[in-house]
Amino acid sequence: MKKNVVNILLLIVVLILIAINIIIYINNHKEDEEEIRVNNTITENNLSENINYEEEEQKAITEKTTTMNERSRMQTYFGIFITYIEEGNYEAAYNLLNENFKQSYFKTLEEFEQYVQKYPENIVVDYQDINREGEIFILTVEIKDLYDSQAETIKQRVVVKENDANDYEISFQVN
Amino acid sequence: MNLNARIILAVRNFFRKYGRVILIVAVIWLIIFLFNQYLKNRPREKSLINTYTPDEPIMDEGDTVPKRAVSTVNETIEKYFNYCNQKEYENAFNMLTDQCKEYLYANDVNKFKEYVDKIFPNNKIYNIQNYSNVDDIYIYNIRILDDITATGTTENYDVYQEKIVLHGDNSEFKISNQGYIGNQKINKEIENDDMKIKMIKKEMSYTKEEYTLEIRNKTDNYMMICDEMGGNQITLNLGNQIRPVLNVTNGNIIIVPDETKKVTLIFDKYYDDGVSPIGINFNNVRLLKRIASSLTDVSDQSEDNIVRTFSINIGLQ
Repeated sequence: MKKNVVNILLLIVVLILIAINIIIYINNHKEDEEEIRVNNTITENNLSENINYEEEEQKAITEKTTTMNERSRMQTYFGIFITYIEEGNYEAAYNLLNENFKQSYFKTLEEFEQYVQKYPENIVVDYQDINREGEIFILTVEIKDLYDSQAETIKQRVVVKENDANDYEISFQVN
Repeated sequence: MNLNARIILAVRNFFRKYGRVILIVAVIWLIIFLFNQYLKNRPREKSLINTYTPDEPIMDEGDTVPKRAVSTVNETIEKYFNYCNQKEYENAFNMLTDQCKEYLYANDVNKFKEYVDKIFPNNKIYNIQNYSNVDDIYIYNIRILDDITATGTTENYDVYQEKIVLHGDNSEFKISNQGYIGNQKINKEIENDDMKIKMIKKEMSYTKEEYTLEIRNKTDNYMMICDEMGGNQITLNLGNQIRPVLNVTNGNIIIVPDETKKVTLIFDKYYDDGVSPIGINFNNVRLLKRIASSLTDVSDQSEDNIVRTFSINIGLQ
């Protein structure tokens, strides 16, 4: 009888220890899942620091996309593409284009740069619709001037093919 | 004995008695702790939320494509598609089932070539979705479209879709396309004083069944099975539903005295509805004294011209 009581007590102790460990694990896991904020300020002109910064930024975007649904991911990818154009970083935007699409419509970076001059300086994107064909998404967007509501609205279809998290190709309806 | 000594003695006895148990518990705790640390520190695999599940059937959630067959199914479809896309007609044709080659293309690769050229005028891409699975037959919907990653949908884009069917065991598959499934021989006969009906076979597509019958008119009168009104004169009995024949509107089925005629009857029926047809009914067979001079004209069905009317059921089970 006394032995049974001792055994039961020991079992309770073991279970309490296991429970404590599980609670500690869950708490630590929750801390790791806090939203990662992307830092957009460039602190120095040092090239290696810039490369590190870009890598960190890409890593942050990759992490973020793993928590998003498909619509949010496609909109994020196109948002990044538009941001590059807005910033004048045409090469980065050009590098996101599908190779066959480039060959058909923008064989050189200069041709692409010339085409995107039709976009406003300050862009706001209005997402009208999203469709999918298998693993390919087709966004219907309206590109507008952020500050001038009278300016022309560019309506376009945008095709996004996602290979992996933050690894994607873009092509779009050339108007 | 003073208090200190008694405490020391009590502790020593305690550990002597329960030391082993405590050691075991401590070891277990340490293992769990170390395992926790390992799980916490191991790099987490990034998995993206993905709602595209091409191998899960949308018509019937129960019967999925077996896991061991999924990659072979996908490879087979990809191979067939690439052959069509690259205009390797013979290679694509050879991936079809024999019944499909015969029924859709009369075993003529040139007829298949015409079909391929119509659907693949330029470079295409595709996507698939499993519809349903019946025994060892996997039915997919395939959408074939312009390569929108290359065009950006600049000139808009065409989409063609059809059902393709994978037949076979889990290691090798053949394909039937355009929604065709296969055929089944039916050896059923029924006879009365007026007629003899022999069921020969049925051709099955995803949405239709086509029955081939031989009908012999044993009488001296013209036998009208169906006039140009079509509809419910010939029906397929599915138990809880009756389906009218589809292919005799604006036509008719008339058999002259002592003639045997081969007839095909087409009915709406989904392959995956889980229902076996019970029979085909001829609901209004008319024996006529005379018919119009041309078989496509409307025959006189006044009382004066009708010798007798009757109905007959051909059981299929």
